Amino acid sequence: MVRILVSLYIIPILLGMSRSTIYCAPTSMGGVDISGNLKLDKRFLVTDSVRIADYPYHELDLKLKSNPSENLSLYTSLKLRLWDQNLASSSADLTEISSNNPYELSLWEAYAELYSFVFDKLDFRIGKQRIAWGTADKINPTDNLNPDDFSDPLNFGEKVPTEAANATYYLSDEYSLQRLYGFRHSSPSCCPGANFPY
Amino acid sequence: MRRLLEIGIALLLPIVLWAEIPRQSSAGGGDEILKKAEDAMNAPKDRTASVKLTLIDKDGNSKVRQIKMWQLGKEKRLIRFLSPADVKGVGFLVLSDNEMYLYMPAFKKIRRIASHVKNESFMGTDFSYNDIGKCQYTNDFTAETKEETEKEYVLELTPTPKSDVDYAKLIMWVDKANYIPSKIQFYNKKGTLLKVMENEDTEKIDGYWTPRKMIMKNLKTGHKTIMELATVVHDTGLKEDMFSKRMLKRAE
Repeated sequence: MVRILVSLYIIPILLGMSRSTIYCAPTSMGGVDISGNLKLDKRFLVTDSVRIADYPYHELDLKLKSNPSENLSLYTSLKLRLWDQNLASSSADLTEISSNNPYELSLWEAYAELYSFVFDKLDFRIGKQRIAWGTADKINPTDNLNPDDFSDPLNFGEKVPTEAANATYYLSDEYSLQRLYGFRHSSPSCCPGANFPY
Repeated sequence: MRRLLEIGIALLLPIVLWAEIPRQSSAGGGDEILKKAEDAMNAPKDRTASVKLTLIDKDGNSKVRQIKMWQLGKEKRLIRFLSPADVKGVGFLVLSDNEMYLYMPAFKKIRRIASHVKNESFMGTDFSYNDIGKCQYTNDFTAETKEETEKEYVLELTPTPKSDVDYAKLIMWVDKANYIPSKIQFYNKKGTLLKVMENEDTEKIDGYWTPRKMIMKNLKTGHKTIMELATVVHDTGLKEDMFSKRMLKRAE
């Protein structure tokens, strides 16, 4: 079992990945700050039978931020994910554009944040947002307000932002009270696609 | 007999006092000069600066980072990275020598800088978290005047037993005219010269002596960081509230 795990996970993680990340210089347009990055991964899988599977994965992350006033901030993050892999297994599949161009465009985060909202010590954030609790990375039992995103297992620990209203009242710099309301009845975790080779 | 003793003391006293003179400079002892240097560096009530950080490796390849820095009094400091994109939004908050926080926008989390990390590189620069965050040398070092020239005092700084700095010794050149350190050498525990910081283009801004350019060279790696103050303003009335974890999160 251990051997299988090593074959399936450790080897691809340690040997089968080459990454380039290109960051675009932050720029400002009409009061909107624009920044982002393009991640290009060349991944491949080496198994016991020396079968090699190419699995290129690219991700474009675009962030927009605007501060219309001192106490209001608007933030949007768009994510375009592209699995550079032809999924067509028969000629019939060629009629499906998604088979040849498996990409996914998502509104990753989009929220408005009001500082000193009603009360001086109250900050209020509404919209699709990442709510991080605790300080540990990757394995963090307290960071459970956003569902896990396993769609790319090599990016273990990623969370899916969810639609919520988030009010934080600062009693002091050390202590704060946080009230959260999730708009969705359920926010399931994301799993890897059927084409995921690992 | 008593008379002879009094004469003996009277004759020896000037000699003893004279022997003390080289240890005390005209400005006082090393600790006093260090205190004056610290006061000169932290003279304004508050400071706001736009800073260009240039990181240059031993082959001459350079990276530029833009930051904004706010300082209140001697202790509190807030830094926000403005560019490039890979570090944009990173925030660093110093509330005291022992309380430093880093905000990483990618993780949406604030982390306290543990004491063992404070001596590591600050965001790829040649400054450590302690170098960037500590505004008061007298909290960590005792100083002794090593040399006095026409223009400068040369101090040797030794860490106090309670200090968490990783340096075994600092040699600091303090300008007599304005008490701003012009150069600091950082030695490790083996006695090897590790880093050299030079302050250049010191000028009076809003009535306060301010070095416009700081160059930190790591002699081990050949890497250096140039910190240039593009714009600086003093005493704008920064509020205490600004230096909080709540504000640090807004760095994004």
